[in-house]
Amino acid sequence: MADTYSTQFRTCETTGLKVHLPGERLFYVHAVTAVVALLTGGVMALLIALTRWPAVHLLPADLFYRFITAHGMNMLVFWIVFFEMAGLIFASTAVLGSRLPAVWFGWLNYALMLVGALLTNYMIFTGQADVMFTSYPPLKANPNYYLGIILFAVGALLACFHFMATLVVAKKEGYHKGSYPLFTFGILIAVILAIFTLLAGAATYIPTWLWAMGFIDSIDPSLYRLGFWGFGHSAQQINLAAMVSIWYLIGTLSVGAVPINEKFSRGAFLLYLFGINVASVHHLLVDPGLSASFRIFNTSYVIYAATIGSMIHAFSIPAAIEVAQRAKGYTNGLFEWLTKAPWSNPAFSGMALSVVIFGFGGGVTGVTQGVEQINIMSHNTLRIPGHFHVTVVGGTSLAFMALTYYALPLIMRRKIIGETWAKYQPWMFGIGISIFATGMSFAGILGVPRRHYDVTFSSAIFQVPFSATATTMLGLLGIGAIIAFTALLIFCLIAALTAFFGERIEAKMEPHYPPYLKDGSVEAAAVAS
Amino acid sequence: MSEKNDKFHAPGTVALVFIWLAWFIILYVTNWLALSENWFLR
Repeated sequence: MADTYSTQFRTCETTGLKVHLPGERLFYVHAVTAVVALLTGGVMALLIALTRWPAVHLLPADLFYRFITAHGMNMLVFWIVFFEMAGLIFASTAVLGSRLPAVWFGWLNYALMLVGALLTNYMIFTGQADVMFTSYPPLKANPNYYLGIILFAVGALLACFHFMATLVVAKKEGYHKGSYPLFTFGILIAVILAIFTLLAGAATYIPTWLWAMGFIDSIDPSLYRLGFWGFGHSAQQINLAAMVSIWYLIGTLSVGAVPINEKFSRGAFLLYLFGINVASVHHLLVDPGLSASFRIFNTSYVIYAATIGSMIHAFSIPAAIEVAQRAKGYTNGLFEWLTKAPWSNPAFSGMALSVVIFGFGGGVTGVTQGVEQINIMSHNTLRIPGHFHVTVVGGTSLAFMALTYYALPLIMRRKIIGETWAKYQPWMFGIGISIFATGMSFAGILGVPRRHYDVTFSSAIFQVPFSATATTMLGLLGIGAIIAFTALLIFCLIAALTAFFGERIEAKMEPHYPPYLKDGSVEAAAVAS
Repeated sequence: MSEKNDKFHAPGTVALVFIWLAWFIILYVTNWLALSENWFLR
């Protein structure tokens, strides 16, 4: 077995990781596709934001809802999941020094996801699925819209099983021994959450698909919403686990941080596993179909298990960085370790900004708005998207961008084109999205509704006047969106130019044999070579 | 301080924890105050 695969490995000269080349190619296509989805969703984001800004009010109503649908699917599903699948390959092969068990299966999963994403986008952009991301019945799209999502979900689900098979192979064939590294463990938690999420998605979208084709007469809207958020919000918990894993990884790669208490960090990941999915019910806090006890238990109680998990991570990572920096001699005062951190490294600054924006913006607003009584005020206002744009965009997307600055030279083996631009890009993106979310949140606090293309109700027979402050906040939203989109464009340019035209870093090809054979002896592996 | 304690010496992070906690308390209390002003008990 070892001889068949041993020549398919290279050794990374920076990290010393053994990288399985077929896995590297799969990583490459997933990451590039993710960036294409990010760019598509980003263009939509700018157009939507410029419509939200009353002084500009760019799009007509039909295009606004169409582009919101495209924005939601491309950003929340395609960009994130394609990137996460790349992360799965990295966590199970390069980090463990293992081979992919079935390369053809990996390509099959990718093809299913790609066809699904293309079909869904085609349906949206041809105006056959103006149902927004949630597609709540009785809104009905062309059946192929749902089929596209189902194909994508099946591909992602199979990729999750492929990840687990790789972990089994890594142990069975002796590529890895003992506990999984924290990064791989975090990704494993993300995969378990993903399997629940994708099954919830199947239970929701398959009946809806049959309904759209006319095989089922009706869909219970309340049941749909329950199932949809089992998919829609749980998908964001996958992001959360993946993002936190990336924080740990970048902490290690950038300053040599070692988790202060690894068991504690693993325990925090387990809190995600047990507490976070049922907390999806916070989307249904004003839903009349569910009892108050059910809603309050799942949100005001269970959600805190996940919150405590995030708090543990959000402070264990800075603590690990502080200990590593102090060990290098940065011991003056409380914060020399922080001021002397490698802020010009875009991976580090992106990770640090992601922690701050997620913790100070996303976390606190999420916990506050997840309380039923406060949700009564904030539900269906712009406060909700104000919250999730600092978690998913300022947190997850920024962390993914930060990791890309390591993935380009280490996995794709290309020297980064535009390093100076790369230094400023995370800052620009982080500041832009913070301004954007501040404008959005305060407009929401002043009562501006979400999911509405014209908050001035200009052609309505009734008037709902908002204060001048609300209009100013919507302007702030627009300005933040322009800054964040410019930074997104810079990121996409750097990633694309580097991936396709960057100077190639030669691979150091070295045969790699499983270092631990079944009897655990390293010597036996040497004999096999 | 023992060598083991030195390994966990991270006072800057402890300060960050308190800054975050203060920010969270302000936000949470403000939200409940806003609720009390907009949602009267009868």
